[in-house]
Amino acid sequence: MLGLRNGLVKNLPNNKPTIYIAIPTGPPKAYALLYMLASLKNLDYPPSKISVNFGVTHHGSANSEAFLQQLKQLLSASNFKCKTSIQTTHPTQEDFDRWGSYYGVILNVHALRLSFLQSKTQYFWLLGGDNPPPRGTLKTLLKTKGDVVSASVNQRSSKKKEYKINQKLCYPIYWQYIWKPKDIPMDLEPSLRDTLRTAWTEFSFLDTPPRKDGERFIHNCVFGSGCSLVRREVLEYVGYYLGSGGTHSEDLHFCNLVNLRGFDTVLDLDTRCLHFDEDGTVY
Amino acid sequence: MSNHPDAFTHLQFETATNCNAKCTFCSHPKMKRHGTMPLTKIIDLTYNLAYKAKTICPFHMQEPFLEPRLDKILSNVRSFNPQAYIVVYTNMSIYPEKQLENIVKWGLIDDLIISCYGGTPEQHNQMQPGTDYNTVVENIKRLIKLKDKHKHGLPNIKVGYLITKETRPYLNTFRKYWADTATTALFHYDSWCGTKPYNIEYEEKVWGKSAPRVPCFELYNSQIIHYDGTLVPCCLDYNNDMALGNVFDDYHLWWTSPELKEMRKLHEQGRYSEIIMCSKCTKWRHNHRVEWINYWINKQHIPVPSAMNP
Repeated sequence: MLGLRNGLVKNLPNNKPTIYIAIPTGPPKAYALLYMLASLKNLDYPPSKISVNFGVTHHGSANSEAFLQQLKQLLSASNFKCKTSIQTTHPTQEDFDRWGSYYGVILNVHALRLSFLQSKTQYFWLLGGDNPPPRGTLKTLLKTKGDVVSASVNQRSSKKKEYKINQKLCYPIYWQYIWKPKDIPMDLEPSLRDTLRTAWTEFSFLDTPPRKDGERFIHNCVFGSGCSLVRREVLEYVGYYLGSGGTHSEDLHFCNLVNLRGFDTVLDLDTRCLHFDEDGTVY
Repeated sequence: MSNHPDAFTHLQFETATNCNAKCTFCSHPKMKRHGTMPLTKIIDLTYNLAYKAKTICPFHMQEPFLEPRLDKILSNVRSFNPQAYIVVYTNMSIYPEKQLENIVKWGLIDDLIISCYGGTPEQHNQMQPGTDYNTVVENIKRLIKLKDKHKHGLPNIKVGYLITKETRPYLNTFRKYWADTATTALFHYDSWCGTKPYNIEYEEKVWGKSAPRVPCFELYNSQIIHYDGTLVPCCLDYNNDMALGNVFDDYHLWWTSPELKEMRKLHEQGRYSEIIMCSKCTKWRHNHRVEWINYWINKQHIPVPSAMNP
């Protein structure tokens, strides 16, 4: 391919890296499912280079089963030209004892991580179940050099007054630091451990990124996983779990580990992913 | 499962089966099984089991420094259980530079135990064919320098010495050589369940009278998993002679296996001779934990075994 070598032929679909799109979801995010499917259909990327993979936590309830069936129907009806899959996980009491209220998402993303590593795909694009990406997001993220590159995700509103105030301030979501509550042992009774963790979650430590004039990227930082593109090698070293000291959430702990292992995390302040609310509000 | 009376403190699994040495005291050359565990299986296994263990040996019948995924495996083990004590055994004849850099930088190994047996270079090369004494020593010193460079306390480097009739006369020379640079650890010679010659009189002369035989520590505390997921009750079962099943079918197997329960029962009744491998075992004579023996003798409560430290 002389043209390729000389740089005469550009943007051939074959040059693009392969992407495993991972979407952990479940009944609580059912309201955003149609938006998510629409945004993936609308994605500006060759279908032969992507696969769409949902992860569903099935609790064995009628609600879980109804959601799974709905997802299967909608996924089939969406008629994607790329590969699609649904990874189903079945949590047990042991999972809850281990991870508290995070058990669903952790099991889900663990299954998606393994499925991704079994493939030969180059990138893992993790999307929150209610964070449909705008059309050009993937291409933009790929242009950024970094091992984990994240778009900014708008914070969803909350009925709580303080969150409403924060919503104006906290755009996009960005964590200034990681909270490590060493005083919450993992062997505590799960509901008590969860209560303590939730108390900290409620505490607002989200903040406006310290953005200087013209600055677009923040390196070596910690962010949520609403829309993050991860290089394959990173997931061979670390995954999305909670730290033993009771770190805030699995995505923040992941970023912390990624930084510790010497990879580069990058937050793109100008690329934004949406955040849908139950009432259809888009943030 | 968490209420199960049996303690599980030690996890050891095999990520591959290749070794560059043909050590005279090891049964690796007689191994009939050969293969590699895929990275996804390793991650899933550590996800499901590592967090429950107090000590973890992520490599088994293999030379870990031949493992191209060495730092990835250790990174996963460490992140699933930061509190666990990670122990790795190596012959140190290979120096995977980039991976060791990561391992030292990130503190991924607690104890690195190096088999550097033999009182002289010639004796070493005879006991551990496929390795070269001078290269091993050079690699150990290189690793110590790397630790100094990163100002990192880990790994604890322990240079091991196997006591045999031939090596014992050189023990003091060995100790003096490493006195200023590394900790040393002495190892018992073992018969690998009767597959290697064993002289009880000599062993008792060196180590003292054999300990009273009590139910095996491993049956109650260790999960030993081979590269294909086969769970075995003993670290000496290198050819799956007493395979209990496959953990990839059921991660609770160690707690539920009827064969393992039966073996524990036979041990508790002192019927060791009814299990072929156990009938030929010599490891119990000197390679024991005092608190474990005391438990069975004095019927005390089960102690939490100390970190594996030969």
